This record gives sequence, C-alpha cells and structure tokens, in this order.
Amino acid sequence: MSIRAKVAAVIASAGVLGAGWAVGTANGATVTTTTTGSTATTGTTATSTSTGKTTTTGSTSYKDGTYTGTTVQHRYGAVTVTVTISGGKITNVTAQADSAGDRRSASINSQAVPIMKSEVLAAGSGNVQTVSGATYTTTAYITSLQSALAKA
Amino acid sequence: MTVALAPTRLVFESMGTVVTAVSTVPIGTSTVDAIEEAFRDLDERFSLYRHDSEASAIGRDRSLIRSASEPYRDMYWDAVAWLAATGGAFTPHRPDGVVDLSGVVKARAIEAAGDVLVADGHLDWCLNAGGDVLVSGTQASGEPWTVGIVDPDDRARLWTQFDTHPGRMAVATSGVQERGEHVWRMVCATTFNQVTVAAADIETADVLATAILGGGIATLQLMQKAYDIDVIALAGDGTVWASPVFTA
Repeated sequence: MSIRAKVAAVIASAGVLGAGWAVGTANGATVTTTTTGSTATTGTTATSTSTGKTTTTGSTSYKDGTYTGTTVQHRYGAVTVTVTISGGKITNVTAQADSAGDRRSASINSQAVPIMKSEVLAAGSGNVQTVSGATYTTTAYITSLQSALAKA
Repeated sequence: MTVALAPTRLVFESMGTVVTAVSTVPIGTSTVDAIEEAFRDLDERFSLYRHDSEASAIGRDRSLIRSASEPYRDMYWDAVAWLAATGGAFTPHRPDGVVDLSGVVKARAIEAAGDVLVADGHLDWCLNAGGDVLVSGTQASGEPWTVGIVDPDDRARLWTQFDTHPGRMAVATSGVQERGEHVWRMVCATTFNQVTVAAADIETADVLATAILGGGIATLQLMQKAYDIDVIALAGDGTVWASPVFTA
C-alpha cells in the first residue's frame, strides 16, 4: 500500500468516524483520535491534499507536518480530516464535521447575523501578525503595524 | 565572524499597494525574486494605470479582447464566471465599458506568490497584499496566524480579529472609500461600508468581499448560502452583520 493510499485510508476511516459522530452531536465541534495506523472500513473515499504542503508518494516515511484532507460530503453533512505527522508517523487525526443534519446547516454555522457593534469580539493587541483592511489605508498602515510587530 | 541571515520578512510595492511576505524560516534571494516577479508579471499585463499594458490597450479598444493573450482571456473568463456566481454584484465591466480585471488579478498574484513559497519549501507563511491576506500553516510557535481587521469607523485602530485555520486560510476586506473601478453598487441595495470575508482561498475571499460590498445584504445572504465563508460587515446604518466566529 502506497504512502498516499495509507494516508487516504486513515482519512477515510476518520471520515466515517466523523460521520457517525456528526449524527448526534452539535454543529462545528471537533472529534480527535490518536492513531498509529488504520485501514479503510467502507467505500468512503478521500484524496489527500494539503494546505500549502505536499506529501510524497513512494518515500519510506511520511513527511512531518499537518495535512488536511479534502472535505468529503456525506449524508449528514461534510467532514474534513487533518492528519498530523511527527517523526515520520501519524500521531494525530482530527475530524472536523461541518454540520450535522441537512446540507443547509453548513452555512447556518457561519451565517452572518445583525448585531450591535459593541458585541463584536475585540482584537487582542499584540497577537495579530497581519492586518486586513481596505486598500487605501493598508498601504501605510500595514507597513507601520508590521514593523511594530516585528519589534514586539 | 558575522553571518547575515536571510530575512524572514519581505516587503515591496506592487499593484499600487504594499506586499508583505513573512515566513517562519528565512526567505532566500531567489524566492524573493520569484515572489516579486509573480506580482510584477500580472501587474504589467493587467494594470489599467500602465499605459503600455495589455489591459490598457483593451480598455482603449474593446474589440482587441478577441485577440487577447491566453493569460488575459483566462483572467477575463474567470472574472465573468464570478459575475455569474455573484448575480452581477461582482463585475469586470465598468459602467464606462472598460474591462477591469483588477478584482481578480491581485488575488491571483497572491496565490502565485504562495505557490512560489510552497515550491521553495516554505510551509508556514503569511502573505499580505494591500490588506488581502493568505496564510499557510501556523506561526513558528504553532499558534494560528491571526489577522487583525481594521475598524471602518477609525482606521487607525483594529476592530476585531480572525484566527486562520484549515478552510479559512484567506481573509480579504473591501471598503467604500477604497472603492476601485471594480466595485459598483447595485441600485436599491442596503449597503455596507466595509466587508471582510474569510474563505479557504484568497480569490473567493477577495471577490466575495467586493461582491457583498457592492450588492449589500441581499448579496451577503446569497453568498453565504452558496459558499463556505465567514463574514463581518458594517452596514451604513451602523448595524454589524457578523458570523458567530466574530462574537465569541
């Protein structure tokens, strides 16, 4: 079994785990399992992609890092699995279920609703690495802020 | 002997704004050059403020679009696809008839720069081009990259913040004062002064921030049904529309 297939198998089985878990649990939470290997138990398929990182087929061990699988749709919503590789081995698998229930709940989870401005979570000073804002302000502002953060 | 370390931070100007790249490991000279080239390449072809760009030539004579370069046509059809996907709230067509692709070009440049970093072995980085942010991985500490969002009522302050995570690696903000040629309000929409969108990729975040700014609450609601995004937006009447992540 190739490395990629093994990773896919772990993701697939974790996806099943996530699916089963999503049936009876609230939206948006995370289920975590620690494993050193697993095999696919159903026909659920997933491909291993990564956020800005690559896995190499044919190498003797996994490349250390955190890899996120493709979001897989299932009957109760969708699940996205993240695998952590450390020392060439899978040390952690996290399944993020987007929602339980019907497909609409995926967007309800992040649905913007009208609130008072004072209800917005304040930015914590000092732990921001970069700034998003309208272009005309950011030209000077980001440069300044980032130079300040560099000294922080 | 002093060994000069390659910087982990790169700052340069392109597309009329400032681009910042930060990595958890030093960014080598060839990577720096490739990142700047990624922006310069798109800027030279697509900038309307450059008289000699392909975009300016097509701006003067729209019939030239039929014989445009493949990169230009790709970008144009990409923008047209977003026009359809946003119900017209995002458009590459200015009211004066000039085709303006800047709404997707900057996002493409950020993506290209990110590809350069990945290809050169950088796993954990943060790119910012004029307030549009794309990250990969985490900070060196393992903490997520956290994006501050400018207060639309007091632009010298931060309003709120967003912790990036898989599925939300890109954050883009559009505001009325910076309204470029690609943001035109639809008639009768309840409008926003500033819209921030967090998404999996920077093109979706950037285009949808622009579309929601232009299309107002109706577009916000449509886009939240169609795309997996978090949004925070300040309406003209002072009401904030915010996804739960911005209140807890």
